[in-house]
Amino acid sequence: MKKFFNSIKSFTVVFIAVGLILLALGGYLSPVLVALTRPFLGAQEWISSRYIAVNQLLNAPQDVDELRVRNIELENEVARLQSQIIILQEQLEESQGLEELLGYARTRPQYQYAAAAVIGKDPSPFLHYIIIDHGSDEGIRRGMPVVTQSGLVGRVDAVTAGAARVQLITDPASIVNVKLQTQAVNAQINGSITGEINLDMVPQDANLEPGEVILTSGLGGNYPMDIIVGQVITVRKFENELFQTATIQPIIDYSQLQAVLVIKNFRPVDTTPLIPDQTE
Amino acid sequence: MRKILILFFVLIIAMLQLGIFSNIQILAGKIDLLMLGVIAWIIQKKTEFVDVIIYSIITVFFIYLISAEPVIIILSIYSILVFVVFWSKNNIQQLPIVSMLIFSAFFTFLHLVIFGFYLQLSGITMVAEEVFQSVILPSIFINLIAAIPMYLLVNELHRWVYPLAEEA
Repeated sequence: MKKFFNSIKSFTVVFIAVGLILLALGGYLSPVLVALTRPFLGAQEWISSRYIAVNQLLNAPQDVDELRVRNIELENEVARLQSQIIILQEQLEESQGLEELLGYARTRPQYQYAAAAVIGKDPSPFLHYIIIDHGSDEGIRRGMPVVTQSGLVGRVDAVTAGAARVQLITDPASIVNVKLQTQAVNAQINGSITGEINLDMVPQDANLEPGEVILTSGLGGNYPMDIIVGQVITVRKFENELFQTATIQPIIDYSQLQAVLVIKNFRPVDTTPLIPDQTE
Repeated sequence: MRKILILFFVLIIAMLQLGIFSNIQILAGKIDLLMLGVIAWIIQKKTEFVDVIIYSIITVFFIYLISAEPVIIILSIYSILVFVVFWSKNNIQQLPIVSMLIFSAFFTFLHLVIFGFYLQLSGITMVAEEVFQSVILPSIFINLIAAIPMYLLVNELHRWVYPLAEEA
C-alpha cells in the first residue's frame, strides 16, 4: 500500500515537473517568472552597482596614474611627430627650391652648375656678401658667376676649401654691365650700402621707362649675358646730365636666399692688362 | 683649458654672428656680436691681459675668415679697442655695465666711421648723411640693445672659466 502511494507521489511530481517545463517552453509561465525574478534582479543590480562603485573607488588612483603616464607618452609622441612634420616641411621647401634651380639649369645646358646652400652673411653693415657651403674642393674658383632660378646673385669673391664668399650685386663695390631687354642700350648697375641697385650710364636718348627689364650684357667678361637682374622702378632724367639713372627692383630677395647655383664653366676675363696705365 | 674655452666661445659667437645675427637688421645697421664679446671679456675684473690678447687675436682671425672687410682695418680697430678698454678698466671703470654700454656705442661708431672713410677712399660713392642715418645710428642702437645680454653672458662664462683656471 505504501509502495503504491509512493509511486503515485513520484508520478505526480514527475507529471507536475513535465507540465511546468512544457508550460515554460510554451511561454505560458513568463509573467509568473518575471514576477518571481524581479525582486532578485533588483537586489542583484543593487549589489553589482555597489561593487563596481567600491571597485572603482579602490582602483581609480592607479588608473589616473596610468592615464597620466599614457597622456605624457602621447604628448611626447605628438611633439615628436610635430617636429618631424616641421623637418619634413623644411625638406620639402628645400627640395622645391632645388627643383627650381634644377629647372633653371636645364634651360641653360651650356653651363655647368654647382648648387650650394647659403650658410651665412657678412657681418659688416657696409658690405653685401654671402657665404656658401661649396669651395675649391668642389671646383669653385674666384670670379665665377652665381645665379638662382630667378636671376643674377653676384660672383665668387674668395674661396676656401669648403666654402666661398660671394659678392652680391647689391654690394656698394659691385658693378655689373647690363643692357635693356627691349632696346639695344648698354648700361651698368651699381650696388649701394643700403642694398639698393642703381642703373647708370644710360644714354639720354634711350627711352627708359619703369617696368623695363634689365639683363646682363656680358660686356667686360665678368658675367654671362642675358641673365635677368631686375626691373626699372623709377627713372631720373635731367637734361644737364650726360646719362639717365634709375632705381632697379632686384628680381631676387637677397635677404631670403637659401640656395644658389655657381656657374662653374664660366671663367671671367681679366681685362686689367688691356686698361692703359693712367700714370704714364 | 682656459684658452680652449675662449676659442670655443669665440667660435660659437662667430657662428651665431654669421648664421643668425647678420640677418637681423635695423635699416642697414647690424649687430657686431664679436666686438661686443671682446669688450665684455676685457671689462671683466679678473681678466688677464694675455687672455685679452688671445681672445682678440682669435676674434680678428674669425672676422678675417668670414668678412670681406680689409684685415688692416679690423686689426687697427681691435688694437685700439683692446688698449683703450683695458686701460679704462684699470684706471677709470667703476661700473662694468656702464663701460660696456659706452664702449659698445663708441667703438661701433669708430669702426663704422673708419670703414666708411676707407670705402670712400676706395672710390665707393656714399652720402655721409645717408650712411649716418641708415648704417651708423641703427648699428649703434642695435649694439646697445645687444650689449647687456652679451655682458651678462660673458660675465657668467667668466665666473665659470676663472675658477677652473685657479683649480688647474
